[in-house]
Amino acid sequence: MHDEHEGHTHEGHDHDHSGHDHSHEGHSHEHHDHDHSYSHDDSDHDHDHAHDAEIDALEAIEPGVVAVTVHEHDGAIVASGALIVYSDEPHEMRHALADELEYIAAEIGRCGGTVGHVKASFVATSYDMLSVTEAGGEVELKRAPDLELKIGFAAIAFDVPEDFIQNLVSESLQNLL
Amino acid sequence: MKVLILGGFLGSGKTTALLSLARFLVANSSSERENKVAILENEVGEIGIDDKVLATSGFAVSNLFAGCACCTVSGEFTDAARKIRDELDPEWLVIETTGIAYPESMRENLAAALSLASRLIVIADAKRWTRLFAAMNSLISGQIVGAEVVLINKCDLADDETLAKIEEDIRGMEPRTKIFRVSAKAGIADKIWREAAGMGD
Repeated sequence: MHDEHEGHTHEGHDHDHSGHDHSHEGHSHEHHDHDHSYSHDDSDHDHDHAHDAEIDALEAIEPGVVAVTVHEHDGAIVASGALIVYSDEPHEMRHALADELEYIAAEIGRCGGTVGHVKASFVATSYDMLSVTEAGGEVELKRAPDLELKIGFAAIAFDVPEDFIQNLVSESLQNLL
Repeated sequence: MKVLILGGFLGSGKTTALLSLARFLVANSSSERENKVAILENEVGEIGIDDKVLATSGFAVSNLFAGCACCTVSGEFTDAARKIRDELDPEWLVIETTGIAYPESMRENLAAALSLASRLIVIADAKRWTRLFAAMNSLISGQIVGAEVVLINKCDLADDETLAKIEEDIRGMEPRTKIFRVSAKAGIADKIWREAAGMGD
């Protein structure tokens, strides 16, 4: 993200493949130290993706569980991810998500791939409960302390292996937990 | 139902342009139809990202996932368009292709299956053009072919020399296309949308 905000730093990637850290107010993000390098073979561009529409991951997954799928699509490697978390810091989470997008794009380029598009949706829902117990009584409002944050994620790249993108997206979503 | 197909490479700014186009079409409609604009989103991922932005902007949005060539030549794409025509009967159907689709083949399929004529508007990414054109010449060229209008988006992020080269490249692929330099983020002028939608013809 281009804007700066208090308590948020985005360190440059060291390009030594030893992981990177993001520091946020209230968040510490660390990518695991594992090898992202790969040897690219020409893809046979199989059409092995499902044609049965959306996986409905945002509706089906359990809160706190990272869901990631990957498929090849006309030469593009497409990773789709979803995560639901509860937090009272939606702004921090959004900035952390932006950092992860930047990181993934940088990693794809660093490993010789071409970034197609790395994007995410971020939906924050607050829960209110209103009640009254008698005619003429005052309506009481109760508000859940945390917001439900639904994150959808898509990373589309060329000339990278499927497991490379899948691991990147999975790691990034794990970092948001 | 009039049909516009909005194509262009991944990340070129199609969804931002689409929001602007849809607002223009609604604002300039003289139709009595209940639905002025319906949008058919064609996303390559398995989770809708762009459709949420469009749906929360008040437009009727249908999402067709996995919009590769095999899907667009099969019935999924044309079935989705037929369903919109039959159930919503909008004045305009705007189809946003995936960033790896070939809009001209989608137009041909639409014409063959539903006898629907359409106009192609393709968004080119000025910021990444040089790099992408070198790496993916076939895909980028294939997306431009047949376009009535090409909008060179993010023109504020490229210098005049680069923009002139992009225009030259595009004319080499599709000599008859009309080319406009735009910044979808800053806003696209009504006169450009009027031309793109064929409303001045």
